Amino acid sequence: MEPYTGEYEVLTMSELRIRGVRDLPREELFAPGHGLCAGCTAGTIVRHLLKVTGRNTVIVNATGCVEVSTTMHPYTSWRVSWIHVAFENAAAVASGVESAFKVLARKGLIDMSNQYP
Amino acid sequence: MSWRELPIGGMVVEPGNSIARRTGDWRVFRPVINQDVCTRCLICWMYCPDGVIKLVDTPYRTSKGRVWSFTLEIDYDYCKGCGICAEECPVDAISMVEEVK
Amino acid sequence: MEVLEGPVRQVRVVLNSNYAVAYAVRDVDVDVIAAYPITPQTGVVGKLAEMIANGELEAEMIHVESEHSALSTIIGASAAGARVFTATSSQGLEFMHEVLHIASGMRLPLVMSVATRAVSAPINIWCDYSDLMNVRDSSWITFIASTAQEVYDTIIEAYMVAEDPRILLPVIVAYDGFWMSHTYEPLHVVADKRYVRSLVPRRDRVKLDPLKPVTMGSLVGPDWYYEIKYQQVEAMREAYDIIRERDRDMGKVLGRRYEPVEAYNIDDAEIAILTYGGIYGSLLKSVDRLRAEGYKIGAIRLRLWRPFPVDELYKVTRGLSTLIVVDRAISYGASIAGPVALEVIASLHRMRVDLDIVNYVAGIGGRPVAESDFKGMLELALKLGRRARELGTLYWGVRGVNYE
Repeated sequence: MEPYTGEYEVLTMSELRIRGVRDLPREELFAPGHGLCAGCTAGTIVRHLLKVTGRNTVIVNATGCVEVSTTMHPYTSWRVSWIHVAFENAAAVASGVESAFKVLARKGLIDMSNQYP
Repeated sequence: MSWRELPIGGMVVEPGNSIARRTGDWRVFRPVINQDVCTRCLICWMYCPDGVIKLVDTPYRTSKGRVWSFTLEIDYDYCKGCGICAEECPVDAISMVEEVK
Repeated sequence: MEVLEGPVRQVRVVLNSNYAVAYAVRDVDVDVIAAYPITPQTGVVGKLAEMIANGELEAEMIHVESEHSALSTIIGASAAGARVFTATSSQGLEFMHEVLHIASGMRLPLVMSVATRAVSAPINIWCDYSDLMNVRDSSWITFIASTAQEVYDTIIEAYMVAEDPRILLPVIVAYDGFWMSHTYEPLHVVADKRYVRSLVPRRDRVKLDPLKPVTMGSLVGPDWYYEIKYQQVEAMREAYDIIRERDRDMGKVLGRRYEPVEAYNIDDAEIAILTYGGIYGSLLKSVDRLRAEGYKIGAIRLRLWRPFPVDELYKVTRGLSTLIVVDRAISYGASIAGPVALEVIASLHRMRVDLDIVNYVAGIGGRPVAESDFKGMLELALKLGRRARELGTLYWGVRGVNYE
């Protein structure tokens, strides 16, 4: 069976009101085929995280199960931007990424409005 | 394929290309949804760690005459047979059937 | 105020090497700076903070909690497409060591200045090159500057080289801690920083962009790791040629042409002393005096450490009979303890150049190396003759060590 490739309604973060299961966005930003153990709910957590954050996301991942299982070269399960650096510096890397976007937008070198809505 | 053709630094530029790895062959038991009993509550879809349960816009008429506008289907190419869906289903619509070659 | 008019208008200022770094980083239009203090580089980030505060530089300065975080932060920023900078020395460089390899492995165009300082233990805040030599294999392109002017020029060149799409390797610009970092020298800086920005244009590269998702830093197994690392080998090799091209371009534009290996009074020399960093200034003076005394001696300076400039070294040493290499770091347990000497011997051996090479280690822990020291080293080397070669490395100026 082919993966579902129909249209999904993409909601902005402010429009996202999750009252129940049926309100969860249908889009899957986490692809199957990763190497997480069968039944490991890390997969569930990542799927839900990406449903809430949507496509305008940069994931900064520390070294760990999720990192090695989901990005076994040359495959990746992530349909969003993703970076891994080392074991204890995910927060530091994330602050670098955030600062970069902030200052590049201020200098007019990237267009923050040209993101997914 | 030589070092020249690889993207530099070990980057993967094709998002979500892990769909090339069909983890369905990990399974020992396969989940089977009884479409008559299924209430389309979406709990199995929500919990699946691999996201292999799909909402398909196929209407279904149960044996009791109830008509659903959509159906839940499992993508057996990727399902690892963990059994979470069967465990969480509130109406026991999913049963784990042994894969028999 | 002296102004140089030429292809580019430059003004004369008086700065120490730390501030020269800051001026260059400002002129290049950096986006994100990670700041963590360590003696003797703190002046770099302090001056940059001042420049951001008074509006001279538009950048984000992230005050990190350690050097490990400093480098991690700028890796993230560079991956997102920003132009980045940080500075460190000694213990800081050691602390960020694992991330150095990651930075070059991820092929990010970072630039870092290192005010070289001895490594602990014992803790010593003064200059030697042990910190720089320790990160030799981290695949960072490395320049060693000898004057504040060169520091300024080389930081600009570092961005040109790092961001070249054929290279995309991070760059270190090193200079003497304290002896250069805190010593004021006259130099020329470009008057209009817009000109510097035109030398280092913004380029497109693969980066973190929500519209084009990429995965950076994946797990690579035995199948493909070697090929990916080999890409770095080739990038370093290409970098050698590209650096020489950039040296020529900068020469035309700024009027100051550098070479990976520079020589003074070498044409008819029989003996030469090779060294690097700030003590080269003393060496030049020493060579003048020794020439006056009748020695046919020249001076050689190593400017490009990685990739190692095999061709230039061969060109300048071809006519010599003796080469004295003065190192400022110790590779404990090595057959030749001076890292540069070891490299020089290996390169010349490859090129089948037969000359006597004597290795001295001097200036450890900030001990000054003066003109008289160079003269003393030369005389001792000539007196020892063959024995100098057998001894391997001669440790200059250690109390209780006597080779005669």
